[in-house]
Amino acid sequence: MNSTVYVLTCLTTLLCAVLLLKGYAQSRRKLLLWSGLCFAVLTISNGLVFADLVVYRSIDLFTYRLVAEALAMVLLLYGLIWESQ
Amino acid sequence: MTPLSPMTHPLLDIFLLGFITACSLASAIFFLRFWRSSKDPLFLAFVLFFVVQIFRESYTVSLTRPNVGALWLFLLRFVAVLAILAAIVRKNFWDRR
Amino acid sequence: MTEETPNSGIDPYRFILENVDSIPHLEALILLWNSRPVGWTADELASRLYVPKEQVAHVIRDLVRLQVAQEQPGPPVRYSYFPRSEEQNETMQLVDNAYRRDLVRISTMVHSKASSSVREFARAFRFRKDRDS
Repeated sequence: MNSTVYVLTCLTTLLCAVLLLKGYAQSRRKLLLWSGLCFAVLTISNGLVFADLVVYRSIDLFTYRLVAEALAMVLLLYGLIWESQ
Repeated sequence: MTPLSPMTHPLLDIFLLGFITACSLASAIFFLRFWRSSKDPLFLAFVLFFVVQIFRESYTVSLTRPNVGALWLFLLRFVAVLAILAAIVRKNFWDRR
Repeated sequence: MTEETPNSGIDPYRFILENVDSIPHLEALILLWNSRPVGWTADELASRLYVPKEQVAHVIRDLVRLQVAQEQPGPPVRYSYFPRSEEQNETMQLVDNAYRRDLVRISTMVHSKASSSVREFARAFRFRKDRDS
């Protein structure tokens, strides 16, 4: 049950990343680039949750999860502040 | 069931949780503005996503084992993610005209 | 919004609302339409429209994507109106008429739209790109 939640969350953020990066390829709007990268890194972070809590239970990946999330937020904020006029 | 290892960098982790909370707050406000100017409910879904993130990250600080989290916290994020999915589906498959 | 929709049923205001992201977009479009089939370089467009070159590049890219402008290979590369169909030509004529007649209303309409980056963000989540929103 837990695994399903993690995996589905992962797939959705992946979908957002793909759509946004595709949109960037077409329109070249930087906002889409940075938010697409944000969701790509969030996907990695969600994947790390799965790895941390389900697969590698003896190692603590919490800090890496948080670093990934923090990085994702920085990417997003950069795009939001610079590009949204 | 093997227990999870304890947290390795508690101070850094708490700092990061706060950092993510603050960034999520800023993002939520941006998406709120986008929703106001475009009237597109997709942006409202993102607002919800980041508001949930604010709540999750700050609540996690109070847990005795933050690195485990709690299932209901993950479910909360999942609900926010479902909101985004619903907005995407509505945008593409619900013909309003 | 449609006080006088001509027989063909084309509404220039709706076209502008759905496809024109900013005033420079609109003015570039009108310019290309009125000067067709003359081609303009990006620099010429920038100085004629009084917008910076980077912004003009965005405008040109969007107009080409909308298939109302086409690239004429260089050197130097020029852009001209793209007469895709009779229907589009008719729409352009109506847009031009509306622009001459109703500038204030059209500018207000265009200005009140969300910024084009935001609209592109929303558009990215559409699987079929033929409709706006």
